[in-house]
Parts: sequence; C-alpha cells; structure tokens
Amino acid sequence: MKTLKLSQTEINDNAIHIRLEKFSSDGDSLGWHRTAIETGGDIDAQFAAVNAHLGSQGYASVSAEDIAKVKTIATAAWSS
Amino acid sequence: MSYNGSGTFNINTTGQPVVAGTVITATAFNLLTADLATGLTTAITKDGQTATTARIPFAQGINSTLVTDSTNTTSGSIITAGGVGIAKALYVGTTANVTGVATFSAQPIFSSLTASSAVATDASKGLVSVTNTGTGNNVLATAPTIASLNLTTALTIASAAGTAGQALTSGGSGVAPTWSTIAATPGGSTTQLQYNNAGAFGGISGVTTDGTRMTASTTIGVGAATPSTSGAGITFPATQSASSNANTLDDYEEGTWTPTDGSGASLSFTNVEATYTKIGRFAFFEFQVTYPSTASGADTRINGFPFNNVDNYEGKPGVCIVSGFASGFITQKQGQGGGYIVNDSGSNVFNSQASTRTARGAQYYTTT
Repeated sequence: MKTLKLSQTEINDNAIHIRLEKFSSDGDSLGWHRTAIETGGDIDAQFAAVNAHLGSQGYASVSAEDIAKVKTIATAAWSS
Repeated sequence: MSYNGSGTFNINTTGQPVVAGTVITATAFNLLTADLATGLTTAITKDGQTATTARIPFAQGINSTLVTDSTNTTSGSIITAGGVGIAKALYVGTTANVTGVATFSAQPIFSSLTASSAVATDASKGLVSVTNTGTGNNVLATAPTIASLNLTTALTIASAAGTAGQALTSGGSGVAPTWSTIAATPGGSTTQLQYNNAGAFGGISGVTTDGTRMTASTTIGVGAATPSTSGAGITFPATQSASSNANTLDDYEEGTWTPTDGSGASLSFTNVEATYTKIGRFAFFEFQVTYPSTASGADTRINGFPFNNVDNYEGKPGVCIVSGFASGFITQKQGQGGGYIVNDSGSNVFNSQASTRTARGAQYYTTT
C-alpha cells in the first residue's frame, strides 16, 4: 500500500501549510501532496479530508504520529 | 780496481805499501790516484753534481731538512719525474695535492669523513663527480642525505616497484611516496567536462561543453539536490533555498493537494482532483470537487491551498466554474489558506447553490 509521510510544516500568518511525501509500496518517492489548515482550524478534519482524498488513490492514512507533530506545532504557533 | 759490486772500494795495491826512504814509483802513484779518482767520481756528491746511475738503497730512510710545501712537481722535498713507489704506508702530515688521477686499487678509507661532509670539494667547483669507468654501478650509501639534488640527466630507479608509466606520488611529510598510474591523456573528447573520478581523471559523456555552452544529457541538480533519475531537467532542493536575486530561478515543485470545505458546514467533497505547480515565487493550482447535497446557506469556501499567499492585497482573483450553475471567481486573501467562490457578479455563491454540483477552478498567486 502506498504511504504518506510528513515532510514539511510551514507556519504562516493565517495558516499552517503542510507538505506530505507520497511513497509507493516499494518505498519509492512518488512526489508531494500539500494541504493547509487555517489558524484555529480543525486539524483532524483536515487530515480526514486528506485521507479520504488520497485513500481513493490507494494511500494509507497519514500516521497518528505525523498528525500529532502537526498538532504540537500548531498549538505552539497558535498560542504564541 | 775500484768498487767490488757490494759497495766495498778496493784501492790498487801495486807498489804498496810504500817503504820509508824508498822512491815511490810513478806507476804506483798514478795507479793510486786513478783509483781515488774512480772512487770519488762514483760517489754521490752532496751538492747535487752527481746523477746516480742506479737505484740507491737507503736502509735507514731519507731525512730532509728542507722546509717547503709541495704545490707542484718542481717543489717539495722529493722531486721525481717518474713517480714514487712506496711499498708500505704513505703518511702525509698536512695536505696531499693530487693534480692527476688518484687510483685506489684497494678500498680507500677516509677516517675523517662525517655524515654531514662525506666528500669535500673545492667550493669553486661546486660538485662531486663520480665516474663509472667499468661495468659496475655507482652506489650511494644507504639512505644518503642530499640537501639539494639537481639532476642534469635522467634519474633511473632500478630496484623500486612500479610499472612503466607510473609516477611517484608524495605520501606527505615523513611518509614514503608511492607509485601511481597517471593516464597519459585524460580521455574523452574535447567537449567533455573533465572530472576527478576516484583519483583518475576522465571525461563524462553526459555533460559536454563547447567552451561557452554546457549540455547535460539528463538532469542537473542545483543547491545540493540529487538530480532526478527520471527524464531530463533541473532538480531543485526539496526545501527551497531562496535567492534574493531577481534573475535567479530558485525553486520548482509540482504535486497534488486536497481542497476542503471551509464554509463551516463541514461538507465532504467527492470526486476530488487537485494539482499545483510552483515556479520560483509563482504558485498555480487547479482543482475539482463535487459538493454533496446540502441546503447550507453559508458562503462556499475552498480551503487547503497548497502555498501561502503573500500578495499584498485582498481578493486575489482566480477562475471557478460551478457546473450547471454559474461561472465566477475564487478569491483568497493574503496569508489565508483558502478562498471563496463568487459568481460573475461578484456575489458569494452559497453552498446550497453548489449542492451536488461540481466546481472546477484555478488560481495563481505569489508565494515565497
């Protein structure tokens, strides 16, 4: 099954932009996938949408660890 | 009579011994004086008038009180035109000057030689000459120290390892040099770029130049990026290394993104397709989503834009078509991750108006 891995988290004024790297079942890179979460947005809902979108293309869901990393960064950014 | 051959002088005794009161005959007297003349003439004179006619045996040696420094063949205490043969040792108290060739039939021993001055030479000559007159070798001592070596002919290292064409490579201070092979020519054509491939120079066929232009057959990596093994082109770093130079292309990225509902109605899109391309600071995206059946009166809003918008004004326009309903624009504000769909009159489109319809849009904007 193809997988996704958190590659980049970019904190901007009104949103956090996230880049995921797409991998084949053999571990070969298939390119990038991006999404953004506006400040105070629902991180779980956004990743649910990403998972639904890419799940239809045969990708496994973004791991809970990667989502937790984004939440940690978002919490720090949005509380500062 | 005279000398008997063994150094004894025998006087003629004819008419002798004379007797007192008798007449000495002329014959006896003349014979005597003739013998005396013969003896004195045969003797060596001390003032050098006599030239010896045979080798003179000096059983106790020769002493000379002459004090002189022999600087040539006409001075010195002993002068000989034919040479001096010495059966045993020759001792020179001060300086031995040899203007001809000194031949040592046995190994000469120079007891005063030192490591720092093994062989002295006249400073005006500035050299020590070693001539091989036979078939043997001229051999220096083990590990000689040569302060400055100036070779005027080829140097042959007979016993060292290495093969033809190899060169000595320095191992650094205190480390023995090693032989290594250096290609006679770098190889490749004149248009190929030369590079050091693990110590061996060679040309690369994939990158060529005519001196002013460079051609790569596949991909070029910049900013430490690993060139892609797919296709041909320029590979940029995965993380942009931004350049402040207005004429420098510093980033390229393409990929997919997930548009999501940002209206607050928590709508789940289907039939989602979305791609983006970033060229330098220019971001461009396309998307397609199908709205679910909804009666929501909230304004439609698409979230999840792939890059941060830094355009310094609000309402960045794009284009969006809601199938079977209206054509309009999708706009976004600076710094936001999403934008609204508006119709061609500039009014917001409600979710209910997009219900079950497919929206397709595109937008470009400035990012970092």
